[in-house]
Amino acid sequence: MATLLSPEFIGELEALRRSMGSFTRSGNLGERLGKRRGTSAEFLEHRMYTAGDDLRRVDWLAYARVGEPVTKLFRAEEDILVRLFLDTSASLGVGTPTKLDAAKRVAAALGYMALANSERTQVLAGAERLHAVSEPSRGRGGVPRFLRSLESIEAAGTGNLAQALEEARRTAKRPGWFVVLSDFFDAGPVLATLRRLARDGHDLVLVQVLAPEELEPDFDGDVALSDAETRDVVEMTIDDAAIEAYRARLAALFAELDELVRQRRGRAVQITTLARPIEVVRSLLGAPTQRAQVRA
Amino acid sequence: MPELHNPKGLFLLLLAVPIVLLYVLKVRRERRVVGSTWLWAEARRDLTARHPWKRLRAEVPLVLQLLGLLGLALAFSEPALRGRGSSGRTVGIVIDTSASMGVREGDATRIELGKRAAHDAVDRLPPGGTAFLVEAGREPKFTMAKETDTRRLHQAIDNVAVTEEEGDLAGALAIAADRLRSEPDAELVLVTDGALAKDTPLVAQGVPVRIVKVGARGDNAGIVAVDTQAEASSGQGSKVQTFALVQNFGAAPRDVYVTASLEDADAPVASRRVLLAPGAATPVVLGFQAGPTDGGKGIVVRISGSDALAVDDVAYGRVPTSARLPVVFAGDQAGSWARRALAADGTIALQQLSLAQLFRVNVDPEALVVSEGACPESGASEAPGLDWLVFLGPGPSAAASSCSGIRFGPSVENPRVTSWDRADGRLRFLTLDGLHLRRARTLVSSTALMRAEEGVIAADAGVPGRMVTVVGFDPAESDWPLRASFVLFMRNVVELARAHRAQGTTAPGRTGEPLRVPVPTSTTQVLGKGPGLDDRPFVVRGGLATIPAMSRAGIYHFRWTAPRTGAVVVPVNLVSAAESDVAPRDLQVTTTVGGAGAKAPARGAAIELYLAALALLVLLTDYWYFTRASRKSTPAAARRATS
Repeated sequence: MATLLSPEFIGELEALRRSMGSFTRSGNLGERLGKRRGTSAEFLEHRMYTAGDDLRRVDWLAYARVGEPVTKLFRAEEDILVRLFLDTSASLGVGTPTKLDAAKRVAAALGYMALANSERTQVLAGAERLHAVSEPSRGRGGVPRFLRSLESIEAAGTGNLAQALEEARRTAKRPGWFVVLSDFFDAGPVLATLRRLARDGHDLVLVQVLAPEELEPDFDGDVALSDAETRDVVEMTIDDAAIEAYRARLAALFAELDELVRQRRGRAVQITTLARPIEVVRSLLGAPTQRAQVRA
Repeated sequence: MPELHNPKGLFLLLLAVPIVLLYVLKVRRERRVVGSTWLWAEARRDLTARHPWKRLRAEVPLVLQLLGLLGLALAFSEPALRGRGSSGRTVGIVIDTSASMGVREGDATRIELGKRAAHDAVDRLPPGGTAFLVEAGREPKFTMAKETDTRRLHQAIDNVAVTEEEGDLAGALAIAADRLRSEPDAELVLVTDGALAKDTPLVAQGVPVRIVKVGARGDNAGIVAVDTQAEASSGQGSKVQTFALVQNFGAAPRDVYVTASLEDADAPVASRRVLLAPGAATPVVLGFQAGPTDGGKGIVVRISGSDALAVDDVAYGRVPTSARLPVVFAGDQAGSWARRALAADGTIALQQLSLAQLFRVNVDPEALVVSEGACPESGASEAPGLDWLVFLGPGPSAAASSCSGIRFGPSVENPRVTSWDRADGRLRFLTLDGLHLRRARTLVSSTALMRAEEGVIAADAGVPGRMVTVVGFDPAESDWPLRASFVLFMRNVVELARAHRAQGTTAPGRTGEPLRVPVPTSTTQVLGKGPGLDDRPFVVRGGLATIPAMSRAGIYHFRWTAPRTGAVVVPVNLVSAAESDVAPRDLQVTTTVGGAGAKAPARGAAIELYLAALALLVLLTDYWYFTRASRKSTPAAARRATS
């Protein structure tokens, strides 16, 4: 716990957790008022009595006034399910600290805030396939187990983010807050899978985690670039033109992610491994117009 | 434009290949681990993973090394700036005016280019400097002696014209060098295209020579030899064959028409199509039937198409008058042995006349006249025909006291031949031993052909251009006709006359060489007409008109009116393979400047030292570029700083 959440960090998170906005309810009973009818004390509406209605919910005063039995309906109380999906492909092991470490710190912060708000929090991890799905935790008591789930995740193997997300989508039957932490360096149909997640009702939050040298390449001249996942080598002569082309491609990738989630009330943020997690959390909880890049 | 004295030095440029290879070969690269190469592959600029080569880029070291190599290669090829060298105080300018200098190079001929170089040499004369001008045609010609007035020098250069002759560059150079040898600060400027007609080495003892070469074209074909012969007469006219040797000096084959036409007719009388392989000399035979009046006319042989040199595309010849020697026999004796001997010779055209007719009818001026009893009037000079053979016997000579300047001595009976001139062509291969003569006239002559105990009985009475043989007895009064020696004697005289006729003007002349035109000995003047001549008179001495060298090829007509009207056609040709081969060639002049005696190539203003220094500077810059202190910030950091 001390590794991912220090006491100072927890203090900062406590101050921020009240500002967590309303998210899609999961449908399960909880402490959040839902839009559906339920059994809470929050009156929703009247409707005419039909056979089978609980007689305890008949509004006798209304019956006396209108002469027809009327049943009182109340809003349901539901919970919010926060799903934190971490990309564990080998490419997340790049950087100092690694991109996966940065992603885990952000995930720990978000999970803690959700648990502190008595929401259910679930950790999912996948690289080529979805390989880890933790039991949802709820309440502060679930924090240790939640953190242990995070800490046990290691970066390894080749990645297939689209496949892993698709499998995660199949396990997430109920909608909720779906946070994806990855570098999104995947040539597969990731955007299509994210669109399907949004169509399923999930509130998408995309966190692109990059090493500083991936934002600003620090090499020049003749280099052999080795892929951390596939070990493929690409020999290149890096010059200003090559750097500019790479930057343009990287910016276009993030623009695609941002465009996708903005249309669906979600958020996308690009961070570096040197970014402070609290800043990342503020960026995610802030207004949508807030700067979507957190570097250091 | 600089010229290269050692073009082989440019082979150093081949070293550029390995240098460039070093730059395009893959280098050992720094290995960097990145999260994914996906975006890099998208952004790759020169992805070369599957190719052993990378794209060549203009890197500073590569450019410097190639520049250095270029400088070294040029330095080794010993360039010299044409016409830009420093001038001495006394400059001899030798301009090649041979036919090949008439080649057109773009908008100017080689001679015009050469004259520009000569003007340039005059312009660079130091104050007070002198120059002279020598034209190197067939014979060296001092156009301008040492002169300090540059205006006159320029004027003399402007007057230089190309000839249609072979050049004698070595002679002109030697003469010019001889004039300069005693000068303390002299220079010889040789302006030529390098097409030398003679193998004579170019030597300029003790004088520095600057060669200015002009011309680059080599696509030329020309007629390098021409000859005309006539076959045996067939009544009216004769079959004429013109032989032309056509050579292609270009690098590409040429398809040409070779035509022959008579000088006063436009239509060709014979034509042939010839494919000329590069460098090959192809003989062409053009045959046609000459009319009875065509004898002696000029023939023009042409090859079609245009090439670098026009003057060698035309050659000239002359229609032979007859293949058979015209012989006139004049005598009144029936059954003359001499007439019988001549009538038996099928190689001659015999015309029989009486002695009375001999001086009245028109006789072929090249004919051999054989007379029995008649001598040439007034000596030999005004006699009809060309050569004479006189047998003294019955006839006018019986009462005469001399014949062709030979006085008669007393008549002798039964003289015995004691000796004869075996070295004389008329008495070759024969013996007169045992010859019996009934009588003979002795002759007072120092050029005896036959001697008897009593004196000379046969003598030579020839004059320049005419062979006259006087035999002091009648063959009918001897047993000579019964001997083989008589037939041999007659045949020898005929053959000598034939050779004499062939040595006349029938052979075509060559440009740049004087002509010798035999005419009647009493003729004192001939008028010449042809290219550059318009009835120009020439003096005749001793029956021979010596015509100064003609600088232009063509058909020349020479005519005279006394003692009787006559004319002759003389074709004059260039026909020089050396001049027709106009391709640029290397040229070396042997000098012994400073007494070193070494054979050194002549050159213009040498700039190889400057080039070598420049190459060294470039290579030093390259060395500095590679060894300079590295910058403290990396390029990536610099980009971050600017962004």
